Amino acid sequence: MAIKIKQSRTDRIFDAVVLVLMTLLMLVVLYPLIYIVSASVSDPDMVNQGKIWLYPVGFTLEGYYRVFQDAEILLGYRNTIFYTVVGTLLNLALTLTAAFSLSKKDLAGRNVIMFFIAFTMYFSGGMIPSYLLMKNLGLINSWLVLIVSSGISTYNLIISRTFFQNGVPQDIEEAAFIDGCSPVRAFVSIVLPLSKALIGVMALYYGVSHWNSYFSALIYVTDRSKIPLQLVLREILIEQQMKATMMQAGGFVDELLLDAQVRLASLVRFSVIIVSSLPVLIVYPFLQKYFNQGVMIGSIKG
Amino acid sequence: MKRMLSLMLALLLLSTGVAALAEDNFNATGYPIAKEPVTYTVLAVTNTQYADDFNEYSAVKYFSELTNVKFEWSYISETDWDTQINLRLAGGDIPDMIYSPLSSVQLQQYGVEGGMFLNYADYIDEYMPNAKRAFENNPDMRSLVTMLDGGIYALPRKLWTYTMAGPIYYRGDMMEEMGAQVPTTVDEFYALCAQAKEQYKDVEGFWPIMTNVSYLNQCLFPAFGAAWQYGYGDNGDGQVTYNLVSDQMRAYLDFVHKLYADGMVDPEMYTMDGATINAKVKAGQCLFIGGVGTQLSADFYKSGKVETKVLPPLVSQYTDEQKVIDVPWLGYAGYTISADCENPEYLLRYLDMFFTTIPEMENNVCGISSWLGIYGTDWGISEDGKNFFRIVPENINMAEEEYKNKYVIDSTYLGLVVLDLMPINNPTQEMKAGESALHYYPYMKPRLLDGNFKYTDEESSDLSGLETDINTYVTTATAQFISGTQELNDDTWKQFVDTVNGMQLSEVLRIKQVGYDRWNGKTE
Amino acid sequence: MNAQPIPARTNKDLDYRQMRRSRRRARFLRNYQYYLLLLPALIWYAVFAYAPMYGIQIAFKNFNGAKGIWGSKWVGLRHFEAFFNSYFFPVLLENTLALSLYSLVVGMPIPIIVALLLNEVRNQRYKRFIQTVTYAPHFISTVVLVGMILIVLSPSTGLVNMARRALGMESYYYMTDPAAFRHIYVWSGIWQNVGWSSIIYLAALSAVNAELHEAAVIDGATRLQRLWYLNIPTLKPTFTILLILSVGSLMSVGHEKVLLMQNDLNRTTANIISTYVYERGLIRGDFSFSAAVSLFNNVINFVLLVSVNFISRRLGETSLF
Repeated sequence: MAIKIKQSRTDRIFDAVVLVLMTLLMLVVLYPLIYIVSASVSDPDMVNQGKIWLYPVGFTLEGYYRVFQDAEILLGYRNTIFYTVVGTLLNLALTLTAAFSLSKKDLAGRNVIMFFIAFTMYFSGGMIPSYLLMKNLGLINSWLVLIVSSGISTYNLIISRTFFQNGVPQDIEEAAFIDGCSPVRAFVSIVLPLSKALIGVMALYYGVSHWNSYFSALIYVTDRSKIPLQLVLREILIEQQMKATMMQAGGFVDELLLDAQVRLASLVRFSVIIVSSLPVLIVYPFLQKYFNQGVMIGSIKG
Repeated sequence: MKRMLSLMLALLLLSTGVAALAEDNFNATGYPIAKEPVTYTVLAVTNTQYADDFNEYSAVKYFSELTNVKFEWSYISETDWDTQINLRLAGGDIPDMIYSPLSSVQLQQYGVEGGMFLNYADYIDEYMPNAKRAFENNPDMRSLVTMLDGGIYALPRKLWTYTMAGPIYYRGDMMEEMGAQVPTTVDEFYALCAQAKEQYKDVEGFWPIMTNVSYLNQCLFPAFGAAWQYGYGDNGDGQVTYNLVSDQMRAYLDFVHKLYADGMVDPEMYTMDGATINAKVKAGQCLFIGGVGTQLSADFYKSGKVETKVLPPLVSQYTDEQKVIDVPWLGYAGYTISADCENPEYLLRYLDMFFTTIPEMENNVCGISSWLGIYGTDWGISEDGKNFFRIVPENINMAEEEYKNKYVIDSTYLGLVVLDLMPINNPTQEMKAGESALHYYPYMKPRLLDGNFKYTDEESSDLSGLETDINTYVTTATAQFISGTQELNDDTWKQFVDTVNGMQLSEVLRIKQVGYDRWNGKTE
Repeated sequence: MNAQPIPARTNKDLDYRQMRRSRRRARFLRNYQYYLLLLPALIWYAVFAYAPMYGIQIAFKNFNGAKGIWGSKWVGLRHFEAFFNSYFFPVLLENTLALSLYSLVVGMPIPIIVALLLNEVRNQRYKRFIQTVTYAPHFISTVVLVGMILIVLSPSTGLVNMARRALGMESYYYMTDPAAFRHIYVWSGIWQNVGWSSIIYLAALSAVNAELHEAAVIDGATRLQRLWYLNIPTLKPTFTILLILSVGSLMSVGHEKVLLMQNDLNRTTANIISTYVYERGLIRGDFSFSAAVSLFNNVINFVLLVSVNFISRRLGETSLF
């Protein structure tokens, strides 16, 4: 029932300024991205001599070919999709429930608990005790290890808690409690539906974190059939670079061959980004709709 | 009770029977090594160049058939080796043998102190006659792998070919075009650069010298004084010195600064990566090339022949001796055996196969086989005995080295990989070997292997901090002198030397001297 | 919904007591359910965060993998002393803090501004397009990002220097200039992360009560006024928390990007704590030393966090605890 208000002049100027600034921002960000796409299909010598500006020079699909040549790439994709989906579900379950509870200001011991949680962001035992722990739990090389170890990100927990505290009006919940509604029910039927934006953001943050993660897999997974995508890509990427450094050290190998590999390495760099980030970029627009306005209209009067 | 006794008796008989069988299986000399096949579990580094299963390698299959010693492989990717091996070692989770090299620190912690590894010193006399002989002929090989307790927990390799040098190359065709002579002194070198700069000033992005600074350090530094090692060296009397605070260093820095300031060397020297340097070299943007001269193939040159040449060491007013540091022929091969490995004797004899040189070759297997494969099948020697060549099937669409890595054997060397013959059938390798043999190898002087000295925990931790700091300071300061950010004069030089000394250089030298004396077998 | 009416029939006092009892029981019931919701998370923290924490002692020992963490020799503050006594300690500290403070001061406001402005774009499809574009750089790996920086700033072939030459100036070697390093580091980071960082603010803005905006419009407020008085306050809690968290990670500048950008000439500003520790680690595989430095960093970070949190609480703003 929006009343149509005539746009005042200041508003129109405002709109124009916003549009100009945002478009500028978009261009500043867009240009290098186009560069990357072009570079990923250009002759690497041209790239290294700085002859690429906008469109590809010396078109070649060598980089992508090299990336997909690795049979493990498809395996990596499959595994990462599994880890991302299941992992994010677990993350959301753990994070949102805890954040909800901790957002209640009169929860006894709230500050103490927050302190202990925040403490873990700063102090941790390190790689070796964690590895030994997983080993003792029998989780090394299992399907669950990457999922379980990702558990909760304290940073995300804190953001979620802030959102619940400030973004969800307490009145609705109060009303529900007086009606005899339990916290769990309130959480599930009232708060969650109102927090679609938060869930969207958390799903994105956790999802992307899973998608890009490789370090945990490095430590906990040696079974090649379970490794995630980033690990495969990283191997392709770094290996080529290691060969490049070896060459500079006057290493003992056929330098013509090495040169071909170095060329390929600088090309593969770009292809790897596209291959690893394209799926996420495609999924994002679907999550975007949760960030847009207008989720809470007219639910409380007075 | 009676049942128990008879059970124990049966077990006793069984175990002695098994032991007898085991001994019976072993051939102390000759081949096969084991009458019935014996299998060991092995952990190896792999990368995308290598085969997916090392048992598919033609050379490995040959070795297996010859010796009846078989392997069950598990792998760690090259990119993750450092992290994962530390975790495996900390978790005590190792197979019979770790194929790829561990670091000195790991050998010290887990071998010497942790007792997790087999001590080769106990077995060499009985099971490894070739290795024993190799150590006697090359005492440095033994020093490399001997830990503080006298134990040996990994095997070394001596890698010697004519294609190992990282010299300064130059474009022979350009030299002809300019009608110039090969420079012998640093002044002539400078003059030549100036001439090239003028002659090729219309070539876009041309710089007479295209390199990164490490090759200048390696090849030019020795021309300015008596020392040849850029860093810590032997002063000729068995004393460890630091060559970078001497007058030689000062003269060297003055010269390189001149090169930089006058535009003789590509000023992006400090930021270019390997791929960029290669691209520029291939675009013909230089006369002198640091270290990576072989990517100019025969097709690149108008004459159709590889015209890249190696620049011999220069001399100057400070020294008339042409010298350069030697190639890194000595290193760890790996092959650390677990202390829990049962019946290691087969494995020991197997590994011993590679401590043979070409004349000592048996069954077409010698040290070189750990690199190139089987003699006669994968590589051969010409009739006059002067050249070697690789044997690859026809119609394969990959480089020799690539083929070898995928189908023949991986690139870990073991034992005596001594191939002092000239390669043929590969123009760029021929150039590299031929030129290096003429202009680099004759001038080599031994390097101080201070990176491989053995220290106690205390010495080690004291040393590493000081050494890193000095190194960081010196690299930054020299870069500033060379690029002109910091002017190089008597005052600033004195300040530089004083600062380095103030960073406890004397302590570093003292500790390294202790390590050196140990290396030379002089006990304190 | 209206509250249920209290039955008027029975004795007032009895009913009051009954009501109080049922309210207390209801409150207790309510509370226990909150703890139930909290439990899985707490268990996770106990097992995966606190159980391995005994590993912190590596910083006080000479870690020897064969002896394990418990068996390694105790050396007390030795590694810390080695770190503080290092020739480079003051420089490392200064360089690290310079980068993180610079990033903080410049990098925190920008995503907010972007989110606020983006929120005002009328065309939904264009808005979504801009969003997707701006957050894409987040996925560029550090290696490629630095590679691109080197190409753009290249003295011979880079965009920036070509522009300089077109304007009659000489090429400038940005990557070897220690002064330029900090600017390049921070602004490339902003470029890469501004879109990503603005997501959380956009989400917060979407929860702004639409009714308030409608009322403001009716009252004749301009878009700018609505932005200033309605949208910005909505973002305050999120901003405060993120600010606290950022101050609490002031010492933690990662090594990867700096290491790639570092060269012999800019090391006077490009040598930071994490790169120093990384390089030390390469020579010796010194777990204990890096654990000690990490602990030092974390203690400082934590102290900063608690302090800023305290200040924020005193000022009546949102706080962590």
